[in-house]
Amino acid sequence: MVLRSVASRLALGVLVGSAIVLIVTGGLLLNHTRDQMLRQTEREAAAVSDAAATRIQRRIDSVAKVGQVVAGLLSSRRDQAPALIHDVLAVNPELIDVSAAFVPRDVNHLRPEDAPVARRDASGLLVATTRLSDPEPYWSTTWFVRGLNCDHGCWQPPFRSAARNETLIGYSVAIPGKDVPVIGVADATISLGWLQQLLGELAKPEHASAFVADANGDFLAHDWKSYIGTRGSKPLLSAISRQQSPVRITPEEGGRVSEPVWVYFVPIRGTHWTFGLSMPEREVLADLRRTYLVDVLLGMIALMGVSLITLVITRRLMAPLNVLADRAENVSRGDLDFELPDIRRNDDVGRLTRAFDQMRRQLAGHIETGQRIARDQARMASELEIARQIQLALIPDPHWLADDGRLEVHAALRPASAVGGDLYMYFALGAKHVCVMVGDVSDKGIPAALFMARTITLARTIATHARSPSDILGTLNRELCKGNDTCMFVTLLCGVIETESGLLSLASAGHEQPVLHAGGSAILVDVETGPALGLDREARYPVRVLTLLGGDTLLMYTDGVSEAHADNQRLYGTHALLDSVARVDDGANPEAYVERVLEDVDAYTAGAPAYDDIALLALTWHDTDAEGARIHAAVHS
Amino acid sequence: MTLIVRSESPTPERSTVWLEGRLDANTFTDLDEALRDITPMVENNGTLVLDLSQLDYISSAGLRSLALLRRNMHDRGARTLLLNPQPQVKKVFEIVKAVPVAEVFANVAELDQYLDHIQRQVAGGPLP
Repeated sequence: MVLRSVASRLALGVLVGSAIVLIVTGGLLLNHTRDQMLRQTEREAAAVSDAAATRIQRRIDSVAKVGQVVAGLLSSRRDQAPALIHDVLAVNPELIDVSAAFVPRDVNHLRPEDAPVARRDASGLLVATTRLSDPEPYWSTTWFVRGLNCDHGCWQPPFRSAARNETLIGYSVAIPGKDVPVIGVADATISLGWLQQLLGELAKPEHASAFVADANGDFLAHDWKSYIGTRGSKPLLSAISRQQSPVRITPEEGGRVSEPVWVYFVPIRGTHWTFGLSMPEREVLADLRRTYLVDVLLGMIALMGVSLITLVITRRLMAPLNVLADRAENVSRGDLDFELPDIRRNDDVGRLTRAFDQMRRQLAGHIETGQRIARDQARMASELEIARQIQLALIPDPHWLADDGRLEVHAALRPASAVGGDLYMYFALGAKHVCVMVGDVSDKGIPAALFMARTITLARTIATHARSPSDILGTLNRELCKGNDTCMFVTLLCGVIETESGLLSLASAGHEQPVLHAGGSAILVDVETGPALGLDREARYPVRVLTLLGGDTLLMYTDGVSEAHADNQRLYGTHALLDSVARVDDGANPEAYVERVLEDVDAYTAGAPAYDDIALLALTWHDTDAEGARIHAAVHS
Repeated sequence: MTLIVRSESPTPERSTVWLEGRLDANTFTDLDEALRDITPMVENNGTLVLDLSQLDYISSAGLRSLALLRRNMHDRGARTLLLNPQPQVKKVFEIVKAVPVAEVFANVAELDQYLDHIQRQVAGGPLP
């Protein structure tokens, strides 16, 4: 629902897009920072390790010095050995014991002076003893043999002292002789407790644990005390042997750790020892993670801020568009009278507003024009309707029966549109004659209707002074030719009936031939035609005379009947018309003929709109007394 | 329901116009418009021939259009002749007589013969 507005969609788009950018760049940054942090930690660890190694080395060096001094002194003062080592121990409080072991002069007569030991006991008192009481003869131990070979001194492997309950380590130096190269071994022993203490005192990074391993990889000291005396894991040992510092050790590789750790180490000079710092990777990167989380949080807050600002700015920019949208709804309701937002800037919205305003004005103009046209059309329709009524008033009633009942006329006029150019006409000429006409004006619509009105009016006037259809048509033609610049014309079939005899005179001005229904059959009455009325001033119209017998019906019609069709259909044609008329019962009244023909034509065009006007007139001669044959004659007037 | 009017290189003496389709109340204005451009090119004593061989239908409105054309040409001393109408069109001419039957010809030969005759009359020569 909220997302329906463009502003909120834009704000959301900015938020999502920026978040994606933030996540990607954040990931790269995280990677970069991680590397940097590892390097930083490495530098820190190296500094700590170097400092620790130096301290250890210094301590060790002092012990070595003591060992070398003792060895130097003993080379010439073998006999004073017990007193000498006692004095040396006394002035070197860090030493646990100092011993001198000489190659025995006679194994069978050993003397305490051959292997004296000055020892500091747990309470700090100095005790003088000898190695002669050792369970194994000292001259055959590996310790002694190794010591003999250390001209410049070397560290023995650490060992556990059960009496002192601590790990001790001795520094051995071969005692040089006057005649032989080596006469014995001087040894100074220290406790590794100080090493452990030193590790504890180091300013290590948090979570780091320090260790010192000897040449075999055994831990001499370790912040995790349980590791002391045990051997380092294989990955660690191989890293130490390869001098590869730092090294990442994981539980999967066989490290004795519960999670990945980084180990930084340095060799301690003067020994084969190694000082190391191990730090869990998680802890190294903990700060990084925290920093990253804070950064992401800040970034998110910044994004929210940006989105909010986008939302506000877009809303302000879009506000006029909302008004325009509302106004467009007004327009769709047809309401064009409304306020538009002020155009403050000439930007897109300003242009749109101006265009909208222009559109509204033009639309108002179009609507007004449309309404005026609709009013005009309504007025035209109303005028046409009136014209239609006037036109219909010009023609007589559809049905007429002569006073004596011998002649009955029925007619129909069906203009294709409101008004048309077809006409029918019947009126009495004096007491003994009746004139009937059916005509068709060229063209359709209003011009045809006006010409039809002119024809009917003239015909009525002219016919009162004439008895022959030939005269009527001739005079009417001359009148219609006057001022007929548009060449309008009318085809007209004119008949005059003697009401006493049933004698029918017919003349045609270019009109369709009438149909006679007599004796059960329908035939076309062949009337020679003259030109249509209104074209040729000199035209002449021959007359055809026939006598109607009782029951005969004459059907006069316009081409709206014979040429009726729908779309590309064939024309209805005179044959169909004759069939239609022939099927009317003998003795039927003229109304039946008119209705039958109209019905058949309608059925033929299947309800399609009439293509042309239709006029139909049927006259029936009801005289049943008449005798004799029809007299067919043509009289040329 | 359409009318096509074609004309070919009209000359001042004799111009021919071909009508094709239906000439009725809906199409007679097309003919009027087309002829408005052609008739001025026919000089006095000239002849305008309307070839109706392709004209399928003609209504009274079309006849009026032809009658008007014939009158306008006649006023300028020019002739309008109709050539080769189809039977149904010819029948309409015969019935309505809006155009004198004497001015309707079944083929070009008849038309030429008639025009020769006219020219000899004008020249004062002996009639055949």
